[in-house]
Amino acid sequence: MTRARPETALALRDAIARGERSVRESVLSAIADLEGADRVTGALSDRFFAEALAEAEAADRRLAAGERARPLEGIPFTAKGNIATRLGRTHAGSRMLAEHRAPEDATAVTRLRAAGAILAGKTHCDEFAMGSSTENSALGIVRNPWDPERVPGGSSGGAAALAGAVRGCVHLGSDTGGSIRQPAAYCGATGMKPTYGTVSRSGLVAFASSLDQIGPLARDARDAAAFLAVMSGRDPLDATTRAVAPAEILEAPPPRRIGVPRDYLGAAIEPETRAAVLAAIEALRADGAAVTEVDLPTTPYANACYQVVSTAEASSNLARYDGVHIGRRASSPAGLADLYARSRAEGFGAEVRRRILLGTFVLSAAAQEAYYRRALRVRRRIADDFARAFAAVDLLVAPTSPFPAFRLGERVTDPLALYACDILTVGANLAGIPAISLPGGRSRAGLPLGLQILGPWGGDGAVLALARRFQELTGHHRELPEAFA
Amino acid sequence: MTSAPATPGDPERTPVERTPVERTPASLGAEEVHRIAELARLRIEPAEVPMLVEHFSRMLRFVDSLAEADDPSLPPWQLESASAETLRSDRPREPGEPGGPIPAEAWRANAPESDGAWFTVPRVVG
Repeated sequence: MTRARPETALALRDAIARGERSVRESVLSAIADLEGADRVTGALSDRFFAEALAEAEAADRRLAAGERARPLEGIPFTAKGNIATRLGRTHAGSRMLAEHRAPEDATAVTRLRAAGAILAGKTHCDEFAMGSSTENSALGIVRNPWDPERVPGGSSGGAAALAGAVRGCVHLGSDTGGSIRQPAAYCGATGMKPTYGTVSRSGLVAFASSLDQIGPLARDARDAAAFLAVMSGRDPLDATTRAVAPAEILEAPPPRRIGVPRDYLGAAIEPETRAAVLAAIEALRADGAAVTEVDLPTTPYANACYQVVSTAEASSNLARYDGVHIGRRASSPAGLADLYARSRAEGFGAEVRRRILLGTFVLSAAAQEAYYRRALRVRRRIADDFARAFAAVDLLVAPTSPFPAFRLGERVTDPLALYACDILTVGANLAGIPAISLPGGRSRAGLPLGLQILGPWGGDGAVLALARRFQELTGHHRELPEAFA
Repeated sequence: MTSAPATPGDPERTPVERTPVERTPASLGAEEVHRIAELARLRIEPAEVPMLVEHFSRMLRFVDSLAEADDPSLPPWQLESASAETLRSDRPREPGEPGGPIPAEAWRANAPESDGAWFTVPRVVG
């Protein structure tokens, strides 16, 4: 019989460091819980349980020999299917990469393993991280642990489903337009998109390189911060990374000047979501925060801007899948051009093909000025909106998604209806700023409602500090679906 | 609160001053869809074309709204974090070092077809 697992990854790590729990016990119980969550959600695509147990036993031997526990000693974690790991497949949810074996771990994975965290598996996601429901996966859809008839959000849906249901583990996701925060909101998890350049993209299957960031999905902001502090910092393999001292992430004090963006609380936001955010703001005000309203006037155009910028970059990044060097090849091609065109048509799903075509169009000579360059000017306006807001306040508090998790199949036929999920999250990616989603209560139907905190460029520590403070004030983040409590 | 809360994506709301801009046609015909697919090296089936024409029309109408927020006097956004100090030193990496050489076999193992030494493709030159 196994003991109940500690609620958070850091509590587990502390129990291991004090010798109250072995790493092997930690991993064995995590395997049982991950499998239990997978039976309901289908989140796991690859399991590395034998390797994880071998690693755990080696860690126990080192600790028994008197070595000090490392910062993340014995904490089980998973990686999203688009993050490179030597173990298992780096599939990106695509037929194109269904059997792809990465020759190296991503830098983020390398750093976590060096700090003692133990890779236990990989998770399903939307194909090439393009989607908001994890229904666009060629390898397996994922269900929401709070209601299996609903989506977990996306594209890091597998990671969020596990973070919403399993104690004492952390899951890596990636966020290009909200793909960590929106699923975290739908599954009752805490998920952070760091400032662009905080975590190396080396080993992340590229979708839109100026927007992509790896980040943690966890049970609370402390666990997310512990993982982010280890993953972050300059990497010679990614020239866009920035120097970050772990103390900046772990020890920033919670700021007191909070802005509420009017443009994020309009009529498109469902009443229950709005009420949860307003209640959170009141809790922070009662705790001594100064709250003011701010304007982000370019918000109505953020989604259109995102569609142009992200598809343009995707069309370029996905040009490498040619049926020659990696991935799938069409059979009996009638020459090289036919090999390219058919391999790509067979390897990519419908949503990925649509985005490649749109991206190719907005970058074509005739359309580039009217679409791509115009979108880059609007992107500057969006970044300027945030810079002006952060001249007056320290952080912004808003909803993560206009509505909670929707039903499977509800938004599959209309891409624009699916893109509506992203209106409150794409702004942070376009501006490169940090943002976190954390549980902010539940709807009458019992579904988690996400609260988003956004900070200025480099303000990751401040975002996490306010998230921690909010979680000290409320207990929303501790709630688990009944089947997993 | 000084004004009614705004709605993201609300077509009634024009929060940014409109600037006179040249509007582009918000639709593409079947022939243009074929041309883009060719540029993208992506085979499309004849049955897909009407759906793609419709999809392009909707998407272009959607992204055409950017004209309302455009300010042609603004420099386009660009990534500001990349600078010379973040560039790596220009020297070969050692095996086992991050970014060091990856054995050719590891790459060939992921190729759909190879002859043991090379990636293979259909004959290109007679």
